[in-house]
Amino acid sequence: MTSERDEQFGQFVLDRRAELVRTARLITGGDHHLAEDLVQTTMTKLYVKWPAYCRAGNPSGYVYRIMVNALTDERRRPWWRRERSTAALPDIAHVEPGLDREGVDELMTALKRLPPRMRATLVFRYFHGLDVAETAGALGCSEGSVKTQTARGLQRLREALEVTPGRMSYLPGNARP
Amino acid sequence: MNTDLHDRFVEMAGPAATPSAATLTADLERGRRALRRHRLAQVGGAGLLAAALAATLVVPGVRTGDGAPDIAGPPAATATKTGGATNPSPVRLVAYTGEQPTGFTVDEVPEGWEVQGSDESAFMLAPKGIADQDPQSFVGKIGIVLQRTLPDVTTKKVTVNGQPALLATMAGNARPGTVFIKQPTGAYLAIQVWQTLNWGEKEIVRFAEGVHVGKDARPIVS
Repeated sequence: MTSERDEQFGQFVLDRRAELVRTARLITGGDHHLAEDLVQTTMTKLYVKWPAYCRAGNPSGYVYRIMVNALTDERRRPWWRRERSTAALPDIAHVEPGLDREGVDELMTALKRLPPRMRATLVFRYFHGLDVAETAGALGCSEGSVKTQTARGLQRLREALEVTPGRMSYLPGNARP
Repeated sequence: MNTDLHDRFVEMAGPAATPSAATLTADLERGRRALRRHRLAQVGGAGLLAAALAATLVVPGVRTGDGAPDIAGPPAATATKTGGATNPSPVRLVAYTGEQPTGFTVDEVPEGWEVQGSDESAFMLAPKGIADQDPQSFVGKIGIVLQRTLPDVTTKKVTVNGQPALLATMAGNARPGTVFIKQPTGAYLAIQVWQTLNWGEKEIVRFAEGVHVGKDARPIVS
């Protein structure tokens, strides 16, 4: 059985899934297994909410919001799922020759130590380049909360990385979101 | 945006791999199953396919209206008794002559209805020409599914084709609208009628007696 929803959703998968996987890798702190689970959950919820997605003023933000909510739900999984989730470490050097692997690992570790929504805030702001209002829409929170989460997130990354001077030069020079 | 941090994130996110056909199919299947759960749960808090999908979850014992613990006991009502619908709409069942659904056969359907869609676990009946052509939408239709377990809802024992069955009032519904018929395999054939069709017990049971599970049917998997 196929429907218009199936066709549209299928095209969405082809167009956007890869990017969502990359986003998920970041907001899960580099856990590729958990990232795939998160994307699957996001896609499933999106299929159910497809009409709402089509009506959404900011469709991308709508999808990100589903993903963040799913990430929060993920934390309620049985312990063995969480255990498996935390067991996987980022492993992307093989796909990016010449990558500063040590720096990437340190930043990913620092990112992973942030609370999920704080992590998502930084990913939306600095990976996707969303502004404060767009990020607030994606997270379903106030712009003030985004500013606060961004400032605190950057500060915590800075604190986590400052033990190795020079590896934090890519962080914004101040905590201003 | 801080370009340096952005670049780091880009590196950390890894490559963007185009989804395979298998991935696309799997996403679609998961979505369809979830949509069935969602829509039928909307109908009565726990609809037909929602109940079916509960099969993979822990399902408490079924509560029966007379306190009996399961479906196996003697029926308290038969198809000849009228059900709880206060104003059953006139239902004229006619022999179904169209293509049979996958995994099932159906002897009779309401006049002017057709099989809108089917798979090996479920099929949907709908009036011909209905605006909602989505076979996974249940509104105004009759849904049939093969499932492994029963939902935790209030039920009443009935008989369908001489077999014990349970007529259920799904959560949020005012009257019975779903019948669960145990199959020799242990699975349940569940038939749910949209509430506003105003079918009573008699109509539901009569229709159910014309629905048969084929050898190719498989209990729904969530």
